[in-house]
Parts: sequence; C-alpha cells; structure tokens
Amino acid sequence: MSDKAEKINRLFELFGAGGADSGSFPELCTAITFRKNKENALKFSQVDFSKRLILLPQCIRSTEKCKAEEKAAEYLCKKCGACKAADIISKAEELGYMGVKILKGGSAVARLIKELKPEAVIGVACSFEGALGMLECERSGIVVQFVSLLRDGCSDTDVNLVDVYETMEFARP
Amino acid sequence: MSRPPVPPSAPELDTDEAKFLVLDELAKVSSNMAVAFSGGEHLLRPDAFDLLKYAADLGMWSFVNTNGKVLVETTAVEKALNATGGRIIFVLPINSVDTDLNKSSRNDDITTVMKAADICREKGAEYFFLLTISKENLSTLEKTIKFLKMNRVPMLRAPFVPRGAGCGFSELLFDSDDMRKFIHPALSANPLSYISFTPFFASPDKMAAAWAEYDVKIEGVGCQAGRSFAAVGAEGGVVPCVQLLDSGCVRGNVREKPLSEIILNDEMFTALRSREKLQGRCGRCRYMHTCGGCRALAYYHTGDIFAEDPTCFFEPVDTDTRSEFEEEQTAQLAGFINYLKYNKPWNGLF
Repeated sequence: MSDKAEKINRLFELFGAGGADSGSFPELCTAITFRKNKENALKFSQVDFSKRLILLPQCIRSTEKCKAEEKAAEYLCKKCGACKAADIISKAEELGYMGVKILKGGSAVARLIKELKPEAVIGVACSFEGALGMLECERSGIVVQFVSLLRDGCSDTDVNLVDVYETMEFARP
Repeated sequence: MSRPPVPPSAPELDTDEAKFLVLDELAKVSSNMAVAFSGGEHLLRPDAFDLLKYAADLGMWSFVNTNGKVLVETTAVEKALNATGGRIIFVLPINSVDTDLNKSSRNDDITTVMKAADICREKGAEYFFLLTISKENLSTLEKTIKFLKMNRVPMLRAPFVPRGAGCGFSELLFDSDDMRKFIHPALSANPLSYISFTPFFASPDKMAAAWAEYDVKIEGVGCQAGRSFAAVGAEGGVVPCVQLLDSGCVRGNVREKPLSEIILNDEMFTALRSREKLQGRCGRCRYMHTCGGCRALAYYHTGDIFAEDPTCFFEPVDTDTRSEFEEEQTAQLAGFINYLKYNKPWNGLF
C-alpha cells in the first residue's frame, strides 16, 4: 500500500466517512479541518505567542527562485522573497512566535512537536495534509489551527496572507 | 449607561400558552422551524427546560439568548442538552472586545461569555455570538468582529434599536455614514457574520449557482423580517422581527389570533415577503430580494416599516445599478454556504 493510500485509510478510520455529509475524500478532509479548527479555537486563543509554532509546507516555495537551504527534513528560509514564507516568518518574529518551520513532508510534524514542545501549532497545507496534521497534533495534546492553501498541487502553491496573519494574531483579549 | 426597567404591559405568556399558542402554531408553518428564546434571561424561567423539551419534541432547534452567567454558574448546558436531545444553540452576546465598552451595554466584560463558550465546547453544545451594533461600539467593531471570526463560529449582527431597555437612547442609532465607514467593511470581512445583515449586495443572478456548487440552498439572505423571522413578545404580541417587539408593528396577539395565521396571511408579513411595498432606494434596488434593507431600522428612523433603509449608503438609479461590492459579497455568500455545508447543525437550519 502506498504512503498516501495508507494515510487516507487512516483518516477514514479516525474520522469515518460519516463525518462529512458528502462522501468524497476532499470533502471529508475539508470537514475535518473545519471541525478541528472550531474545536481548537478557544484554547488556541489563550496560548501565548511564544509557545506557538508555525508549520509551512515545502510546496509553498518557488521552485525556480527559492534560495532556502535544505537541512534534514526542513528548508531553512533565506527570506529571498520569492514566496510568502518570508512574510510569515517576519510576522512571526514581530509577534514573538516560537518559530516557523518549512517542512519537506507531513511526517516531520510528530518529530518537531516532540522536539520543540509547542503548546499550539498553526499549520498551512492542503486539506489532506492539514487534516492529517491536525489529528497528529490532537493526538499529542497540541491545540492547532489550520490555514488552507489557496491552491494546492504540491509545488508553487499559495496561501492568503490575511488568513495566516489573522490566525497568528488571534488571542483572547 | 443607566437603563430603566421595562414593566410588562400584560401578564406574560404562561407555560401552556407558550406551548400551544406559540410552539404548536410554529410547527404548523413549516417542518423546518427553529425557535429563539430571547431575553430577559430565558433560563431563569421555571419552565425553561420544559419549553425547550417541548420544542425539541416538535422537531425544532432552540436558540437560547443568554448573558452566559447561568451557563457558567449552573449545569444549564447539560440540562438543556438533555432536555432537547442536543437540539440547542446558545446565543452569547459580545458587543466589544474592549472591557469598558462591553460593560457599558452588557454590564459585564467578555470573561463570562468566553467561559460560557468554553463550557459549551466542552459539553458539545453549539453556540454563536451576537453583536449589537450602535454608535457606541463602532471604534472597536473591526477588532471585535475579527476576534469573533477567529472563534470559527457564526456571528449574528443586531442593529441597536431604541426599544426595551434601549428606549430613550435614540442617539445610539447608527447612520449611513457609520455603515459605509465602519460597519459594512467589518461585517464583509467575516463570512461567518451571517448573511442576514444589510446592506447585502449578493448578486441575485449568482445565488442559484452558489447553491448548486455547494449543494446547499438557503432561504435567509438579507433582511429576514417577516420572511424567515417572526417574533412573539412576552405578552403575546406578534411582529415580523425581534427588533420590532413592542413597537407600532404589532400585527396581533397569539391570545386572540393563531400565530400561524398571522405569519402566513397578515398583510404586513406577506408584503415583507414579496417586498412589493418597499419604498425609495430599497424599492428600486437590484438587491431588493437579497437584501431588502433593514426593516427595523427603516421603522425606527422613519416610522414606516416599508421606507428605504436610511442606514444604507447605496444610491441605485434603478434595478440595473450594480454595487461595487457585488463581487465581494457574492463571494462572502459562497463562503458562508461553504461553512454551512461542513458544519452541523447549521447545514440543516437554513
């Protein structure tokens, strides 16, 4: 069984096709992210910025212009400005976030959580990886908020910065 | 703000009257009914849970407006869930994230309401936020709506109107300038701000396409007075919208005339549904059916429920004039429909 097929099976096992009104797989993933965002929102808003970690997918990089350095399961951003990662990193620095990680794959999520011990995570990804990542975070007791990519496709993807910033700034007054 | 108590004009509806003259009658109007138990504080009524159970047994969802105190200090959430089999949604008021501003109109900061939201989430009860907009909270509106948006639950805006405890505070009514500068931009930025707010410039031509794309059809777009809304006062008076309770728009009393008959056949209700009597700019507006203007604000500003909404900033020449916000608000409608599709019980309530 392929890695992706295995993950899909896991999602169905964890959540069940009944979780979404329509049975299609993308809709199931979207339903999971909607539900988990809602369930986690209140707790997330109470976590201090310094205890929040942001996880970005590698596909958000510009395949032609990216200057990031590869290191183990991550890319180290050089803020070249060819994609939106630099904007998100600058915003995270301004707010005092724990950090921003650009991951080569979703499998690094569990390791990073164990290593960095954030109390909350903001994940940017496609709905499929997002649903998996949220369930992974939940299993580790980490509150999570997910921001969906504007377009996916595994390379040169995009995200709405307003959505990301609003999520980053979300804090209970 | 010092608010005077408002004494009842007649005995309040008792338990049997609420059941038989209101809830049973509502069930005759549609098979997909929801009932909102508004304030005072419904949960302080001795028959509160009895009425919630009765509504649930009729297949209705109940909305309970509460300041949150009872939810925080008692087991009301669990009792309501048990009474209704889960068909309950709590409505929690937040007028401003600014402590002083919220206290001015709600006599509390938002701590109680947020604690109540926490309890609802823990117990598995649905909730949403109610934001009453007046001149008083305009300065923090954008910040407040952004905060509510990120809670990922719907938000309903209510316009402040000078009724009930708000009598005598007409200076707090917002105007078209406030709408253009503060209110419309802030509400438009949150697809979960619920689409019944006005002015709402969703394309009448594209609504069917949005419904088809998300496989969800909603009836409640724009002002819902007399359309999907009707309100019954504590003493039985019936009006087309909760904002019009105790006003000159009372169309009968459930003690004298069946509620279903008033809703289905009353001249004002039917004209509000067809929107054929709308005057001025609302009467020549392309968005007559997707907006219709706030009928309550029209009434409180002019004394005529069918007058143009004076808080709207759109100046249509005729029904061909398009708003510059049409594309944005059509997208907002799609965003809201998308939310409904993936979020129970909202997907079954429209």
